[in-house]
Amino acid sequence: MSKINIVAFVCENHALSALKAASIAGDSLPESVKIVKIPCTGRLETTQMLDSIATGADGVVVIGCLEDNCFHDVGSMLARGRVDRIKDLLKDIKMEPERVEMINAASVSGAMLMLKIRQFEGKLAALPSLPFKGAIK
Amino acid sequence: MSDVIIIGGGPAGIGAAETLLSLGKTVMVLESAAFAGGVPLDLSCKGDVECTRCHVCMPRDSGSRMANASGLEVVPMAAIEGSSSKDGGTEFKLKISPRYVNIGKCTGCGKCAAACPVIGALVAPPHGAVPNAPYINSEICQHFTSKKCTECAKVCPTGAFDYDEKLKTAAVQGKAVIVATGMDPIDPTGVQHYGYGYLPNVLTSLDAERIIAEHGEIRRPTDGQKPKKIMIIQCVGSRTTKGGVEYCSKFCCKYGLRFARALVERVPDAQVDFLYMDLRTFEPRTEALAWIGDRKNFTVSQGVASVIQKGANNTLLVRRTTASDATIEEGTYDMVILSVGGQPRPETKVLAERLGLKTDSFGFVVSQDSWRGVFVAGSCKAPMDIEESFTDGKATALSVLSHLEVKR
Amino acid sequence: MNSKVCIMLSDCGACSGIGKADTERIISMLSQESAGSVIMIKSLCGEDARKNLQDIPVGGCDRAVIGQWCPAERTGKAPKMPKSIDPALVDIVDLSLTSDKASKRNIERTVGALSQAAARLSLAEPLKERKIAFASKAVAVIGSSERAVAAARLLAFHGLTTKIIMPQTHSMKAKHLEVIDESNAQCLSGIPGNFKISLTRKGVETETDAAAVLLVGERCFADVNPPKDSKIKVIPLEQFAEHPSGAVGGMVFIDDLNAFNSKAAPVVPAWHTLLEATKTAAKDKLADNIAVVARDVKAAGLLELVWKEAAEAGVKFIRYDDKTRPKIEKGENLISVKDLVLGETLYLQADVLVAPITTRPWEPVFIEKLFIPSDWDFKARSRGPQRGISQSSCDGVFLVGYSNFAKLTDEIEPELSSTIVQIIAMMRQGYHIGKAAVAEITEAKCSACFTCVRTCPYRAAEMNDSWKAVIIADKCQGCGNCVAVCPSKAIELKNCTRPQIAKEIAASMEVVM
Repeated sequence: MSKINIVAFVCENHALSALKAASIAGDSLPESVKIVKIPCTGRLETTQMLDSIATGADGVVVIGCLEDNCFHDVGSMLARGRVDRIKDLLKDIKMEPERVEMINAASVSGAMLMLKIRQFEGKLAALPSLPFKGAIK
Repeated sequence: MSDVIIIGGGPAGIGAAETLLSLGKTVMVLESAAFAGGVPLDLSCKGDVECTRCHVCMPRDSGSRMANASGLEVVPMAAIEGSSSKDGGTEFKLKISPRYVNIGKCTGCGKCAAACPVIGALVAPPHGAVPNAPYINSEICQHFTSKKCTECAKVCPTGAFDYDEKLKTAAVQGKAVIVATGMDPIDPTGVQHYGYGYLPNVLTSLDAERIIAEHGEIRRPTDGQKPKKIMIIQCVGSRTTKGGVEYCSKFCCKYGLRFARALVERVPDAQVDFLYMDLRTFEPRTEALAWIGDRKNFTVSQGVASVIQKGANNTLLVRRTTASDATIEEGTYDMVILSVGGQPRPETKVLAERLGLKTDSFGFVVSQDSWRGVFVAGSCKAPMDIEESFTDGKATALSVLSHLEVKR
Repeated sequence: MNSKVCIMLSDCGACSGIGKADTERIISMLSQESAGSVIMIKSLCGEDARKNLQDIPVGGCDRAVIGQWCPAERTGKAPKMPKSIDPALVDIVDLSLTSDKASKRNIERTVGALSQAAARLSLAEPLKERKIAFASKAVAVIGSSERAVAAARLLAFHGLTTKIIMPQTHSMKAKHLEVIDESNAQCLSGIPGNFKISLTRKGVETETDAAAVLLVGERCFADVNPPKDSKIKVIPLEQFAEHPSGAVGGMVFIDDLNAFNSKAAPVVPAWHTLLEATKTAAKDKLADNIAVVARDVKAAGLLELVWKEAAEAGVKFIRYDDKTRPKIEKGENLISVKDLVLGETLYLQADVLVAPITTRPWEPVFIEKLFIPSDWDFKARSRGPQRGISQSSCDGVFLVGYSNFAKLTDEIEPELSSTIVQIIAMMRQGYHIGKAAVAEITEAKCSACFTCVRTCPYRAAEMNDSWKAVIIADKCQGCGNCVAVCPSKAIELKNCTRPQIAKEIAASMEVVM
């Protein structure tokens, strides 16, 4: 049983291709990472990132296509803007902004994506655990 | 008989195949390597947050989309032993080397890749590879070299491994043929003053890509550490009459700058110096260099590196000219990346002769035979980058379409 | 909604690496949380197994999640759907994506992946893709350059009904080809297979239809003004290349006429043309002294050899850099430039100055109305590689040439051919796929702020006559960007709704808690 939860919002284009390629190459996702597939990271709202943390996630990672190569033109750019806003909000409420990250990944970058996901997990594991975890359903 | 046989599954071959399949034609791709996908399979995406238009993903996404297409047959590990005209098309006699994996049984579960104890022995298909199934490199695999290791077969749920697979022969026919055999990277061992092959940490761009593919980041081969001072030298093996080719390889300016950008963005505390002869990017210079902004850890300068020598403490000394005031400078680096060009494969000439096509003194194919339905696509015609090869493959598909459909 | 999800898990011991006991443990954990039935099914590999799936009793469930251990699309072995369930309400979960490849247990991961899928599916709507047959049979080519004409002819040659819209008059005739001359395209609307192009023809507003649209980029002849205070004669490179002429003392080729100013405008230099022209000029002795002044000598690929030939024939190649631009010496036919290699200033005799034509990008209004993807300032952007060659973000609208990204002039030919063959394939397919999971606007909540209209990459959101935004379902690609930007939260994306995502996140947490 893993001790931390990470919600990974993964777009169904390049991000998912990268994860699938990594899976075929025998690279396993850490158990803490729960994948929520969305058509485009641009679909994601800031409330959904916050709700993830409120309902038990220690961190949120948004994985989308590279900017200027988003399958839907602007989605990953909009998502990054929202992730940056959530980071500012977390700073304001004295939480760690490193709990929410955006990773841009191309379909061919499976290995690099897995590396970044593991680095994110490592950083989260080093943070103090959230006091309200499990309190909100 | 397939409608089209495409020789070479690189970007040009993949581009042509995707288009011909969308037109309802049956396509067979003959590929010498274990996967169709070509050089882009070895390259990494050069973007960190923003796409830099390196175009590595474009043919690979295309390959991924058509991996299971009906109407497509890919014959990997195939070598052409003979060809002849037959029934209005061309027949090829093939020698097919063993892959040791039964593609039909492989489910892509990834367990074999996780179980293999040797790096590079069990090669999992990179994104975009067709077929999307692994293969065993018998030169490294311990089953074949010494220890009779069977780790992969043990974990495979469908029994897809066959260590006893033998060489096969086959005869295949196509109404039309596309030669798309591409380019090989130039071996800079011939550029003697750069010390490739005996100086430590002097790599070609492809060597660097392999390190990145294996470790997810660039590391020095000597000690596995991240480099702190990197020199990227352009035009290695191109535009020269000694130890290389006379023409310009075209893709390396675009490739080198994007590679440099990827390094700079991912190793932010490294100093990267980029040395070029001419900057032959097709976007205007201001656009090509706009990403540099006011970064201090990246320099772009015009000049020629005359020699690389061993420096103290495992460093490298690079002596180079500076363009602006015709002086000579020496710099100390802990990694030098040689941006090598490309040249046609020796097999291209052999194939061209078989098919009655002409090659020039460099080995590029300079004729095609649309009457007999033999066409040529991609960088086996002239130096091209990935995007241009991919486009050329599609453009050739239009000629093939006319050949297959327009009655004379 | 009274929906019940049946969860089916295949007991593919070999592929899953999970023993039967652990599979049963997974089933019981899922049963505790699930309202619907949880069934263990035999392996999904064999034909018989798949037939059994069709008749499986699903216990009153109207939707199903099937956990499969091999990525279905990889092997092409998708299991047949249970007969009693609408196929649009079946979700196949690729369990290998989230499993640990070296483990023999994977219990929590499997429970998690299946619970998440079931949570999402419980609120899903049965939606299907629609094949929308093309209403128009024509391809419209917009552009008047030689390439546009060649493209139109080639499309017509392959049997496609082709229309070419151009501002000039043109007297060409060809089978399947309609020339809509003296016309300017104004606005494009509709969906692939059924586009409407509004245009003004000889001053009259009219309309034409098309299934696919090809925009061939234009080069316009820049004002090649002679520099002030000098008698240097300036000739456009294109003109010189067609009619080389000479008998002058000194001829200078420049890569960009704006090099003399402090700001250089972007130019896509026709280097092939320039190098061949200098080679011709040298071999035909069109001038006593010929020089090329360029920031970079872009003799890429095999052009390097043409450069060498020109240099051997006596052409001087001089590179300048940002700090030392060439200057026109006042009053004399001289251009001065600092040679970077020699480090000294050279004075070049320039009785004739040959300069390439500057390209002009599409007008912003044209871009806005004709679907060319643009950045927030409506300047044309190049397409991302995910979109492929020459595709705009609207399927069926293709961009070629200078309207796309920077390239050498001799690269436009393959781009054009590759686009034409894609258009042929598109027209042969003959239908556009209307996506199943589209966005939908709740009229009552819409505040007519236009944010969704501006955000949608596919121009699928429009403001109707009652000042309410509506989504054109046939255009919508289901990305959901409008959903997130709407300040009134008036838009939902089908099968990716806020309640669904919230439920899926909650389900992913439950396993660990």
